[in-house]
Amino acid sequence: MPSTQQASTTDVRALVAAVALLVLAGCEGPQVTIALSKSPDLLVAPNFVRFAFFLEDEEEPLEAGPFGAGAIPASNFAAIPPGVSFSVDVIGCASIERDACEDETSFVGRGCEGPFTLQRGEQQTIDVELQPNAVGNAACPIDPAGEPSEE
Amino acid sequence: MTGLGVVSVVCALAVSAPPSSSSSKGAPARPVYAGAASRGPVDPAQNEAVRLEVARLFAERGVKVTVAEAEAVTEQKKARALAELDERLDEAARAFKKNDYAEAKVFAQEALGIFEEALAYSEDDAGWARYRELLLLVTEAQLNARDKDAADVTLGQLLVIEPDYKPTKTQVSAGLLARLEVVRDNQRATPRTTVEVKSRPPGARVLVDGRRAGKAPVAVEVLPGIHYVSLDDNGKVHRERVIVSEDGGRVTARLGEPEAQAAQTLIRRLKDPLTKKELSEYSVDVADVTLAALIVPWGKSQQVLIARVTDGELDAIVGARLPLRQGPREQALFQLVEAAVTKKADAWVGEVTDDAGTLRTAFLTGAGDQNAVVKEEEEPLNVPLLIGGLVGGVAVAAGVAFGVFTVVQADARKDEGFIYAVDTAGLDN
Repeated sequence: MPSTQQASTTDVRALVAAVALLVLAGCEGPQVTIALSKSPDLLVAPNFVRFAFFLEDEEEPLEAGPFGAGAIPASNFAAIPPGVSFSVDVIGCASIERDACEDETSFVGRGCEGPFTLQRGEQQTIDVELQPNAVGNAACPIDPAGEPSEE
Repeated sequence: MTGLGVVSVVCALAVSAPPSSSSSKGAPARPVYAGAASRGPVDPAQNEAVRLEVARLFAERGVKVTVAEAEAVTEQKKARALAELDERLDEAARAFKKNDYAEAKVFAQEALGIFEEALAYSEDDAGWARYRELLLLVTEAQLNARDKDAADVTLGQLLVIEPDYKPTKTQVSAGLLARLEVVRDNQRATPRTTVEVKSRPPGARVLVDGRRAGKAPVAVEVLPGIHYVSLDDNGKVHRERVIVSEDGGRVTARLGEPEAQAAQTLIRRLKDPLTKKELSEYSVDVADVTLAALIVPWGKSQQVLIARVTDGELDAIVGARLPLRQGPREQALFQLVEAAVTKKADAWVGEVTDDAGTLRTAFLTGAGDQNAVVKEEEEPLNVPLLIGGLVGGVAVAAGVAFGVFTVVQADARKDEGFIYAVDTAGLDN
């Protein structure tokens, strides 16, 4: 049994943590939500997905993943400053091992959207539909310096 | 406070390619090790589960378990693999029934991949039974497709592993049984050969196709074909899929390398509190990049802290407090392991954000954050707790100040980029 003093200290600490969490919860959240969907032509749901963000005036894309389709971290950081045009390219893999998703033979679907330009703090939902490889590879990646998308 | 007893965990893992780090760029790739050991008082089962999960997540990133945890991780992986293999076998069988050979082939190949990855180097017959089932299934499909040559190759592989195997009439078609005997007769004419298995140091336990074959060095008589050879020297494991020709085959496993020994020394030393200098000294012999994980009880749950030491320099410690609820708990561990190979500075990850300044002391003393409070997510709001908290005005102010500070930090980060989340609900349709 904890002493009264211990319990009181614990309570205060709990509140401190709770207040801090409330402040954070009220102010933080994803600025961008990437909503993935699957084209009806794509018969296999990917086990892993990888993301590439193509930036205007940058040769190499920013890459993230592969992530398990059911275990993508709740928040991820993309180092794309406000005002910089970018496009999103998503590749889905059917592999059952994460590493195998590096191998092109395991790619089952691909989709991309853009270009987008976000302002500081602007909220945006980006819908990306994964298409069968042949369709996705023909359409992706999108030139980040092209005409902005309707989205 | 029994919940704040100390547990340290360091497991020994090796990575095929080191995580990106400024100091290791351009350097030849050496293994990366991390590890786990424990000291009490502990809840062994709970800590074991966390440790295995961390090891599994490292493994998903290309890390192979090489020492103490090999067996335990293998057991967990084996159970998972058996379930996945059964699923693929069912899918393959369904596709064959529909005469959809292309889809069936994909599932069969996936099933074989799962078997080779997790089950082929085990004495446990459960995996081998699935392997036989898979080869029979593929053979039936090949015979249905009137591809006799392919069926003979598949049956040949089955007999290479089990020359005397005889399925019953209820298991397979009469056509397959007849074909099996033809292939068996042909194989009887093939002379046996040997696969030589050596280990450094000698004495490792050898398994060939899931059967005990003594201690290395040893020559094992086999039929030419694909064989699965594994060596185990007190948890240090070597696995190899060998294509043995008529002239024989050879497997040499280098076990007990200096890096592995250094990793074990580090594990032993992490059972006690360390200075930063000691951590660096013990890590530098292990690899260019060493990952050392520490589990510290946190009320009813745990905190997991992972230190990354690059070229002897302690360059980052990341930590996560594991929520009690299963989903957020798994996510926190996932994010932690991701952060362990990517973060350039000390940081807490997961649902709880906190001052990272305590992480170094927490890791090196093994004591964790003694001020940590478990977030009881499933309990209703506690009114007396709130009143008690309000009385502690200074502490509340400190809490708000902490929150504001963090928000300011986050606000500044908005100039560098944005936070994004991914909604995968649409992938299930």
